[in-house]
Formats: sequence, structure tokens, C-alpha cells
Amino acid sequence: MNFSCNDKISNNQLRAIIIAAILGNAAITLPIYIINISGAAAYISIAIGGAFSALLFYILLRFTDKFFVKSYDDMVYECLGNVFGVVIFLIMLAHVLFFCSFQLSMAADMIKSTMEKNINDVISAIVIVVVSAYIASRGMECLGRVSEIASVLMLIFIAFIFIMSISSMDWKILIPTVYEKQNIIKGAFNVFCYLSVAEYIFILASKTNNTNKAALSVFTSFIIITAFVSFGTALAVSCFGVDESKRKIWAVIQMMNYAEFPGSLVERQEVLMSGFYVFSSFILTGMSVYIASVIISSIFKRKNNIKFVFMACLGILLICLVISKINFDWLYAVYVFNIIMCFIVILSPAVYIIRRKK
Amino acid sequence: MEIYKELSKNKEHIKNTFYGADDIVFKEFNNGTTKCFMVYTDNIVDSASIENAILTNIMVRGTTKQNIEEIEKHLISVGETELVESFEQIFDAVLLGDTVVLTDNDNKAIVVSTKGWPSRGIPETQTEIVVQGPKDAFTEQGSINTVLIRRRIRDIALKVKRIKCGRRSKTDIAVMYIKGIAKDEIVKNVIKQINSIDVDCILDSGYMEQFLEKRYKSPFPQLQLTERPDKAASAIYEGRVVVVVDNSPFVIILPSTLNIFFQSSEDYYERWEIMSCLRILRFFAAALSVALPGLYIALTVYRPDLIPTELALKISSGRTNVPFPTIAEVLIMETAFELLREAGVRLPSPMSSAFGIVGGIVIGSAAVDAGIVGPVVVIIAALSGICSFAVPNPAFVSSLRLAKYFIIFISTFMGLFGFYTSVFIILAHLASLESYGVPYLYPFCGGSVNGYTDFKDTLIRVPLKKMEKRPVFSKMSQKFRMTRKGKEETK
Repeated sequence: MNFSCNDKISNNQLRAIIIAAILGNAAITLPIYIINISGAAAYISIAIGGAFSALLFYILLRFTDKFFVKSYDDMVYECLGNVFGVVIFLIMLAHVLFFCSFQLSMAADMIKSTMEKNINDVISAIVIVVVSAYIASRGMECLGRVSEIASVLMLIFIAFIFIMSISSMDWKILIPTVYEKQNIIKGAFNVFCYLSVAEYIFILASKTNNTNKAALSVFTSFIIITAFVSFGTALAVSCFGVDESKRKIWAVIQMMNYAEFPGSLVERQEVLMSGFYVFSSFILTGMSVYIASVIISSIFKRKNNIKFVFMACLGILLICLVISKINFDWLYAVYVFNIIMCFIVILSPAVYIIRRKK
Repeated sequence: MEIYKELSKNKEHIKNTFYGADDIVFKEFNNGTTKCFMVYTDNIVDSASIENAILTNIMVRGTTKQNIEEIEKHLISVGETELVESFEQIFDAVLLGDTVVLTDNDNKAIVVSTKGWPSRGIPETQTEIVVQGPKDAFTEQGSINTVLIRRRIRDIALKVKRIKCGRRSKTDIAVMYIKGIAKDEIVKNVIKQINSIDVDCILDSGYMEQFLEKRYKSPFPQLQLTERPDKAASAIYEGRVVVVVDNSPFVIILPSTLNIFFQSSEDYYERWEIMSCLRILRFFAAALSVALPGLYIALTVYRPDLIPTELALKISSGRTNVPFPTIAEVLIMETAFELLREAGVRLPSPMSSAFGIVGGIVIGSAAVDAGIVGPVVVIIAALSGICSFAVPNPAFVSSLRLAKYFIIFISTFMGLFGFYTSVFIILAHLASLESYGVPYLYPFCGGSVNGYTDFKDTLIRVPLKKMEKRPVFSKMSQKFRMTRKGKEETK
């Protein structure tokens, strides 16, 4: 009845989920990664890579939206057959769990270093997963509604900070050198790979009540994310300089300390900013738990239920523990996995379209 | 069980059933030579009606040849009468305040409406007081409550569906809505829910509220209770459904959203600019009342470096002689405040305000002087308490109080991370709630699913002339409540 109780989300909610889940995480992990590649031109790389990513999803979703009358898993099984379908979903599941666990470990690490030194990172990871499991168990609509509020809060707050910081920006630092210009495209490709791994967007898009407009929602959400992250990176670089920014793990967040607020009640604004990052982690983990449970249910060909949510949570926690305890370049692993997923994301709808036409 | 033809058997069965109930009155009399028998409950009937409209007419003007149908048609001069054929109907009628007349050689009985309940008249509002606007409130008598609503809605489309609920209490429930504006699914769902309630008694609308709520374990109310007839009428005009429960001075309005708990009747009776500012203030006050103590604990205990230095020094100097940790300080003051509030409710109204003021000042200043709590904690607790009173709905205020303790608890263990987490949990919980198909956080989120989001009566209340649309509760075909200039009238 009415507009709810049907386990569907609106296109606004789709946009909100993507923004809330990706913006916070991208603002944390992406700048340092890209600044190390393209230096002062990182913000240009992010803008180009993000724009291409938005375009890619727009095109893919425009081509596939009419097939979302069925669910995404139906589409994959019909396209690739049962065996390959299961294989694809297993890869997807591994990627969703791994990506989420990596972001979760980063979040736990950041909470410990900027917010609460007394909280063990394992405890904070468990708390985030438990809260996310609650959201995921309440279904898609709950996730959509929370994201709507979280994304609005995040965008308003971050926009306010950026506006306040513009006056102290050093534009000269942002002019790239010749070497940095040569690396813009390389950086852009990395951004493209980072953002284009969102295979779950297909699952989310298939759950909107108007799949025709899903492409536009995804496009605008990626453009908003790109704009914010690119601007945040520019601010961080102008604030710390290129060399210092390369060493700062949370450059965009740490930049907050140098933003001047008139009559501020809080001494260290970075903690406030990291609070919004915590919100983003909740949404990303909640969404990942939900998507993972949907994938597990489609692998087992059962209706999604609380058992699958529990399994997904357990998987994320275990991988997160491994990531936080074993010393390894996990960012590189994420990067490799992202490229694999990027191809799968592009290829699976393409194969479907070709097979449908035949 | 069907009524016998012999009056003596009927009499015996009725008397046996009501054995031990001394307030049931049995009266035997004659209609000519035909024996008649009358039964009613003392004190809940209108004695004048019984004497003038039943006894006098039958005993003086009656003739032997008249059967029970003729008596009903020609002798009983009361507007509402009914012929019944079973004992169950007789018993229900007697307990409801009606009078039942039986005659010999007839297997039917006449139920005459003679209800004359003791009533305290139409009172003034106690919990939703407004400066400008009607002062009348609902009373315990359900029939009067429906009249109070009907007086404000003179529309033939206003429907009143009567249902009896409670196996033993047989409480009268009236479901009121405007056919054509209210969504049929919601009306059907409400009636179905009421019919499915299987319980001994429904003593108050609070009982009914708990049975009608889908997520009854949630601390947040998902239905609205009001004692104001104007609010109930306005809700019906918006396409919502009102449930009137007999013996309760509060009626239930559904569906309800979080936004509705911040609305007061007065918002629409006064100028929009002022009321919009007050509306924003209410939201801000609610946020403060929930978050302030938890945030204070998180900042002072875990992250004092975030507080501006001068303020931190003042807080610290105020706590110099306090022997307890901050959490104990906050809990002492919050508990004292809750006790004052609880005790104030039980006291007679002229005393309660004086008690609240004196108690608050004495306990607060004495606690600071004795070095039990710091002065800032007194301010925090008082501010949090006062802010909670800015929200117009008492049920929602109670939920906010509970949420406040939840945030205090989590913030105590996990500091600022706990504060963010607890706020997020509350947000997620609110987002998961629905009230009869309407997201609880509508229109702040969830509204766009139907392509029908209306922000004109949320954080601000736009001028009435601009509020062309009804809220989302109404049927889509009836979404315009005003005739749109140059466009077709929707009604």
C-alpha cells in the first residue's frame, strides 16, 4: 500500500545511498592515493576520473534499465547461465565483503586515531557492523531513508566547511607542474577504477521503483561525489602543500583544523568531520551487508533473510580482522580487485544485451 | 440463544444471568391484560425516558391485542428502537444503558435507547493548551466525542463506523473518516486490525493504541493521541482516520509521522512567520533535549580538548570539589529532574507548578552548594528538561526522554564515537518505522517514493493560502484541498 512496504527505493534514495556510502570513504582514501600519483593535479584527476565513472554508469544503466523489470540476479542467470552466474556472484560477494572490510578497517583505524583513542579498533568495527546489520535486516527502504538524512547532513556540513575554507586557499600551489600534468590521466584512471567497482549499483538500481530514472540518479550522485572529493583534495593540497599532503593519511579531514570558523564552539573541527565519516561507514557497511545478503540469497536461490545478513556480517568482520592484523599492502589488493570488478561490471550487462538481441 | 415465547422462561433466564448484579432493575407490568417485563441497568439510563416514553405509554395507552411489533411502532415514543431475537443482544443492550421490553407470547424483545450516562460535560484541554483557538476537549463519553468532531465536519462524506471491542468490556469504538479523501486501504486496515483484537477489555485509547501499532516494541509512538476535537477534525480533513474509544478523553489519529508530533493546533491559528519560527525552535529543542547530556559526557570525559579552553576551565573549576565522576553527576541531576516531574504530575495542579519551581531551585542550588554536582551539570539537566517540554506531544516527549538515556549510556562507554553511534542508531530505528504504510520520517525521507513530497508543513509552516495540497495521507486524486486558480476544481 501507499509508497512503502514494497521493499523498493526511490531514485532520490538511490542517489542518497550512493552519496552517503561513497562520499565519506572516497574523501578519506582517495586523495592521498591520487596525490601520490598526480601531485598537485590530483583534483583534476579526480574530476576527470569521476566524470568518466559517472558516464560509464549512466551508459550501462541506460542500456540495461529496461531489463530491471526482473531482478538483477535473474538478469545475470539468464545471461550467463546458472554455473557462470553463481561464479560471478561469488566473485561479487568476495569483492563486496573485501571492499567493505577494507573500508571498515580504515574507519576503525580513523576512529582510534582521531576520535577515541581508548576504543579498540576491533570494538569499533564490531559496533559498526552490528548497527549496520540492524539497518540491513530492516531492508532496503530503511537503508534508503537513513541514507537520505545522512547524505543531506554530510553534504550541508561539508559544503559549509568548504565555503569557509575558500578564503584561505592558496591557488598557486594548485597549478600542476609538467610532470604532474603527465600523470593526470594515470591518476584519472585510478579514480575511474576506484569508483567504477560499484557493481552493487546494479543491484540497487534494480530495486528502484522507477528503473528508467535510475541512470540519471546514479550519474548525478557520482558527479556530486566527484565535485566534493575533487574540491576537498584541492583544499587539502593548498592547505598542506603537495609533499605534506602525500604523508597525511586523512588530508581532507586534517585540513579541517586549519579552516577558520567565526565564533566556533569546537576547538578541533576535524573530529566533527570524522563524525560524518563514521556516518558514511555505517551506510557503506549497512549497504554492503544488505547487498552481500542479497547475493548470498541469490546464490542459494532462497528468499533473503536474517541468516544471510548474519553470514554477511560475520564475513565482513573476519576479513576486517585479517586486514587489521596482517601487515600487507591491502590498498594494492583493493586496487587489483577493483580492476577485475571493473571489467565484470562492464562486461556482464554487455553480454546480456548481446544475448538478448540474438 | 434465541428468546423463548413464554415470558416466564425469558424472565427466569434473564434473572439467572444477571444474578448477583444488584444494579440491574427488573420491572413487571401489564399492557392491558398482557404481561410485560422490562430490564435495564440503574444509573446509566435516563429515568425520565423510561417513565414517560415506555411505562406511561404502554400502561395507559396500551391494549391487550397489540403484539410486540405494534408496541414498538405505536407506543414507544423514543427515536431509536430495535427488535432483537437473542438473549445476547438483550444482555449487550442492558449493559450499554438501553432498556429492554419483553411481552408474553412473543419471541422478540424491544431494545429502547435510554442511555443516560453520568457525564462531566465538555471539559477544557489539559495537555494541549493553546493561547488562541478552541478550548473544548474530548470527554470520556464516546458519543459526545463523535458529536464534537461532527460539529466541525458538516459533510455527508464523513463516515462513522461503529465497532465493539473487548470480549467482556464490549467497548464502543467509532472509526471516523471522510470517504473519498481517506485512503481505502488505510480505513480497511484499521477496521481489520480493530476486529482482530481479542482481549478482555479496552479501557482506554491507550490500550487501543498499543494494539494498533505495528512495531509495538518501539519506544516511539506510531499513532497520535489527542484530546482536541479541532485537531481530530483537521486530521480527518487531511485524509487521516480517527478512532474514538468510549471511556477515553483521548482519540487516536492515524497514520502519524514524526513531523506531526511537532505540530500544534495553534500553528494554524496564528501568523505563519511566528509559528514557523516556533516550529524550528521545537525541532531544535527536541534535538537538544535528547543529545545535550550525552554530548556533555562525551566531550568532558573523553575529549575535553575539543571544548574551547575558557569554557573547559570553567567546567573544570566548577567540578573541583565534586567527588563523583561526570556520568554520576549527570545521572543524579537527571534522576532528580525526573522525580520532580513525576511528583509534579501527581500533585493537584495549583501546587504542582510551585512544587516544580521550588523543588528545582532548591535541589539544584543545594546540590551545587554541597559539592555533589557542578553548576554546569545543573544547567545541562535543566536545559534538557525544559527543551523536552517544547514538544507539543506528551507521548513523544516520553520517547525522547528514553532516547536521551540511551545516548547517555552509550556515550559513557564509548565517548564521542558512542555519541555518534547512538544518534545513528536512533536515526536508523526511526527510519525503520512506518505508520500504516507511511514512513515515520516522512517527508524528511521516504516521501519521494510516491513522487509526492510536501515540505510546506514541516520545519516551517507556510501561509495557509500556499498550502494547496493535502498531506500525503489522502488519496492522490484528492490531493488538492483548495480550488486552484485557473484550474479545474478537484472536488
